[in-house]
Amino acid sequence: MSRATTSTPTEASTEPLLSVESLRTQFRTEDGIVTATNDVSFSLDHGEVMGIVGESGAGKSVTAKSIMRLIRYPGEIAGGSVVFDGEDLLSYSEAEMRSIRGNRITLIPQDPMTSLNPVLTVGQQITETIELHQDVDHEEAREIAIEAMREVEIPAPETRIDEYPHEFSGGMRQRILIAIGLACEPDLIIADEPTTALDVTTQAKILELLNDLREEHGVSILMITHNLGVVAQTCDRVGVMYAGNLVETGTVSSIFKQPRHPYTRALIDAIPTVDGERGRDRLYALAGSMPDLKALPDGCNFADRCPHAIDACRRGEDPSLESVAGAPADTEAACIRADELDLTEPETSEGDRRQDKAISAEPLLAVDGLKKHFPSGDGLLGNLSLTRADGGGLSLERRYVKAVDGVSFTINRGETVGLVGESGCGKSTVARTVLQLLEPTDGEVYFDGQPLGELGSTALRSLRREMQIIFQDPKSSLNPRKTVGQLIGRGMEKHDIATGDEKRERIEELLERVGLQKSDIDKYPHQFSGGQQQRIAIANALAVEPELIVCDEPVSALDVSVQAQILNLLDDIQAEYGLSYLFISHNISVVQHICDRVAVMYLGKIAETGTVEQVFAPPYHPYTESLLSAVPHADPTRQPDRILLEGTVPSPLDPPSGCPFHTRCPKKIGDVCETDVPLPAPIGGDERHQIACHLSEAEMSTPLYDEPAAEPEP
Amino acid sequence: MSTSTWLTTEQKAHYGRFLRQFRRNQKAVIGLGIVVSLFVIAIVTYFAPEIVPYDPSATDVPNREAAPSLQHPMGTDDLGRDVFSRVVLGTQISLYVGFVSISAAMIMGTTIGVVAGYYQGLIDESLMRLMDAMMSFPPILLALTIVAVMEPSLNNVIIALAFVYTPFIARVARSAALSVRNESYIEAAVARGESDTYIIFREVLPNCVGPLLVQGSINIAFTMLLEASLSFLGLGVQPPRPSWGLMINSGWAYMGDAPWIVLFPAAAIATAVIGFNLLGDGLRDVLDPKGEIIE
Amino acid sequence: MAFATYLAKRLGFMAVTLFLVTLITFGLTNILPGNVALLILGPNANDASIAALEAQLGLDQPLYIQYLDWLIALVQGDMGTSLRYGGPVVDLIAVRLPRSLMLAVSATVVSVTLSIPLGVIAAVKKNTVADLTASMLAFIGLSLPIFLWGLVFIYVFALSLGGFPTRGYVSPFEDPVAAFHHLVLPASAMGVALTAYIMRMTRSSMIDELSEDYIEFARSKGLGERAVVLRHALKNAAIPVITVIAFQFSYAFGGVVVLEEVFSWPGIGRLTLTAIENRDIPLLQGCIIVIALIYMISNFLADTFYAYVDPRIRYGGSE
Repeated sequence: MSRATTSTPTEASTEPLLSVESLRTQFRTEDGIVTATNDVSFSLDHGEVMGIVGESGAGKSVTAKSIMRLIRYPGEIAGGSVVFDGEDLLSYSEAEMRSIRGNRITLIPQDPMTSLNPVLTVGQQITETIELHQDVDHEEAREIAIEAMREVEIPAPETRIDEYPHEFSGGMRQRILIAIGLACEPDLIIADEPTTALDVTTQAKILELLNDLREEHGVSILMITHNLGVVAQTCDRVGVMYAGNLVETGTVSSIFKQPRHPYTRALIDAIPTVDGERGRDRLYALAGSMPDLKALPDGCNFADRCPHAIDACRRGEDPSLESVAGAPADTEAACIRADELDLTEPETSEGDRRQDKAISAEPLLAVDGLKKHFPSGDGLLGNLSLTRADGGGLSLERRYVKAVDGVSFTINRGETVGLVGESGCGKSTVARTVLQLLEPTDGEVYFDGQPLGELGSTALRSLRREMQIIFQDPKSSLNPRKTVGQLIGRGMEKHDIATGDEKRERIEELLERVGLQKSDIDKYPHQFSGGQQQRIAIANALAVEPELIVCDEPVSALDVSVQAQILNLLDDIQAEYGLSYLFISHNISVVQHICDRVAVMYLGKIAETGTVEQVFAPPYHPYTESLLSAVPHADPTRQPDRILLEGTVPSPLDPPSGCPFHTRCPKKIGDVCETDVPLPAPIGGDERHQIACHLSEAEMSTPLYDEPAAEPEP
Repeated sequence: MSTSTWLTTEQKAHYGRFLRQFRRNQKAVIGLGIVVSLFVIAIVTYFAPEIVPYDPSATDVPNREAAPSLQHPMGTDDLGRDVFSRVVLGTQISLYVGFVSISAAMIMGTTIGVVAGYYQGLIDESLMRLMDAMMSFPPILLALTIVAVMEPSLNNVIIALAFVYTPFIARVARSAALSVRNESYIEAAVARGESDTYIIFREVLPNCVGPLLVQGSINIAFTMLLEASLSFLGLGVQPPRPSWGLMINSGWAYMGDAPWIVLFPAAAIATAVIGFNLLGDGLRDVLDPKGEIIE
Repeated sequence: MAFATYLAKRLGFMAVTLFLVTLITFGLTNILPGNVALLILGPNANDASIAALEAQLGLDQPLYIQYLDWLIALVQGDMGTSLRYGGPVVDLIAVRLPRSLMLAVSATVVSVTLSIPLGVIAAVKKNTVADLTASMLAFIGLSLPIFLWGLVFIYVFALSLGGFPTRGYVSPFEDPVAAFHHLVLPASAMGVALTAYIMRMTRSSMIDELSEDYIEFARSKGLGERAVVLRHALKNAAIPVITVIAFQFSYAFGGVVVLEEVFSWPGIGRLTLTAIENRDIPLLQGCIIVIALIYMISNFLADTFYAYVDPRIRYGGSE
């Protein structure tokens, strides 16, 4: 892939394609007016790809919807202009605007699972746009639709056009959304988080497709994303948004090399990197969170969190974008100190190196041959399914989803073991089965040498004190009807740790330890932000003084700056309380940052396990290799050599024979992969590093840079 | 809690949001107004029945079918009884039937629904099949049969209605419990070593209260309608108790000459039903904006 | 295959429910006080003849044997003999059921034609005067018991305005015009009472669909509001509404019990009341079972239709 640094040739035009001036969009809520975007200005040239990046609530999506005038009551565009190809869209009538939407400006929405109408065929949904905007009859529209599907590399478009959305995988649905966006050959595509809902290997393929299409059609793209990696890999220019306003714009290369706004710097520093020396250091984390859009502070919106803020920052208006001395001409920053600050180097904070921790060689938790099969379908008889036997007779069959199918690993005292894999690989089921929240179908879990499956329910209940869990969604993990004190105190009472005033003192101590206030003890969970709720969940887990904490995607629902805070907190308390972690995540960078050892899961089985250094360097399991290559790096200078996996993950209802990965493996060697299940084998004689693959070590060490392949559905 | 006041400031903030939204919801406020007035009327006339101008069962044959006047604001019926006094006292019966039967249905239905939703599997399947079977009978038919079996009387009407509405409550309780069950805090409670009883009553149930309140108040409206229908058919509350349905039943024959005998009890039913429906609807807007509650 | 599996499961559930329904029906009707043999023989019968008849009717057997006998007969289409009328219960019901069906179907048609447009308008114009008016209209329908709507319609359209008969039934095969005349009032009265539920369901279902992502995406394609509402939202919103319509249809069967009394409509509702008044247990059992069966069949048809309309069920979900 090559990113065009010069504009793709289009008709010579001095005017930008899109020019947004002082755009202001507000929402009326019960608690007052929320200014979702305030004074947003930027422009986009013909053939250019511009990214708008920011954390949730920054106003990215609202900006995109305002451009298309899709803001509906109780929202309204309160001011500014949106000049598209010389015309102010805000002055258009609704009918005129409809002839622009879906025709000259198209939207690629965020969630492919909910953005297609479930009761219309994909063909009906593609052709309705074409028939609306082009002077063609139904047959011609269908031809154009098939062509568009072919262009986004959907196999057999002639037949698949008559299928319904649920018959397509998530990645394929995203392709259909792109096909709809392309069908009328627009001038501008607004892609609103087009890959956020997708797994990393699917994301890699969609990004590749967008890059190809952009080169072929010379279309301009406005890429809305929270992921700096996506920006680095796809965009020419970028605008960084914070609290409803752009704080910096510039070319991707200059912004990543030398940010001019402290927030941009912080955003880059908060991302754990997959490689490089910084990988294992403490993350640089901004304190606090984005201000309330209903009550913005005086002066710069970022001042309260900014390490460089001075008194002048907290006075007057929020600064607007201005060019920066010594920076490239098109770099602008909204910071009164932009000219004087040098933000080339990563920000550092105290206690920069991570504390060394004591890992004993004695296993705290041992998981042996764990299996968990679920009956498919709902209800008692739900897993019964009518099947037609070979003879033609109907019969009923019980079907099982093999979510976890033979998983073994150990966690030593003081150690963090990561379980990484894409959605549906069974990693969360492992977490729940280990904790006996789900009963294992087979296999055993030993905690401190005791087999959990053989414990009686009373013994298990008292042992639960030693094993706690932190969930992905902090909001869902705290009972909304209890106060923080009741939530945290319950575990202490339950396990006779503390009562009365002593309990209250301990809760207050814990709250302070996780970075909250003593006075928060009587508040209810909904009064906190997502990051703070996760801190409460951590305090809740710590309250019973456990030895093991299972962290199930603990930072996935959080913004990157908050994610860094939580990762640092988890790191700190590990050494302090002598904890072991089982860390479940789909995010490879996070796993690499926080874990000592890693197990890579695919379709209910462990493909590779070893120390972080071993797993993230050759020799690789081919799946590990693909996964690593698919991560978009927040570094525009890096040439991505993405391995694009064929097809989608097979259904765990009906897993492939032999190696579960053989249907997609770029290094498949032949029949042995289809017939024999590979067993984990030590690599280089090191028992700690095991790979389950038929390839030789040399083959697993050879890098593979495959040509992008089409994506046939299984 | 260390504070001695009834509510801590944090609790006030917590419930304040609900109260504010409730107050801003016109449906809820009007509905609550009607319901509270009905309760006041019922309670006052229960403790001070002499407050109504006439004895509700005192006949005055010479003065029968008298049109509404200052003496008789709603006229008199075919036996010369004062319609106003009877309508006012009918409030007691209507509310008593609705409230007691739905309270009983709430207790049974909630227990069944929450247990089914929490345990799932075989328990869920068998309980819900039974509820389905009970719901296969139109409510009025089931109520009619039960009352007929046990002899028509006020208390038997209440028992019948409690049975009839139990499955409706159970369905709501189950679906609420199912969605709460998927919340991580339930798993967290299991991971903490809590017993099933604790989880069902302290974690699941309090989070199902919203939908149940809504369903309960709507079902009170339904029971009032049903009670009126049963009484109309002569299979409900028995004379001489002044039930609104009964008044319509006996007044219907005189509809051509004295429509007020039917009109005022009918208006009373409509007011009460609208009151509970509005309250339920308003509560739904406030408590369940996503519309998870089924009717 | 997925559709076939789905149907097979539904049928299985229905069989279980039906079994429970027979159990409840039998259980309820056998607690009825009153000696059946005494009812048949009259008050002057002596103990010996009562015992003889009880033996003949199987009433001296334990309750579960009685139930099994009854169930086996029921499966064979034999609901016993009416104590009041003397003839087979099946025949009595067969004559009256079509009349009640006609009434319930007409009422459902009335309420669907009123409620769906009202519901769609209320949802699209949410929180406006139109929404409020539509909701209030529906609310009024909901606020009176069905029998009272019957009385109101009789009072207004038959007694005050005239033109419609207040009571009675005419077979459409004998005199279609008169039959229609007799049908209008009871069907409209019930239709109005049912409108509220379907309208409210349509409204909330439409509001849900209109907030879905695919609606915003449809708008982003440049589609007008009409196409967004009718082509995209309504098709999805219809799915839950169909279930409510089926429920209301069977609810209408509850309504007919009362309404047939008001309009002297000789259907299964009046038959049920007659059975209760006369303690005619076989007849009552037959009526209850048939009405419950109508409920189950209409729900089954709704589920089937629902599954057919929704491609996620028709072709099997991938999730």
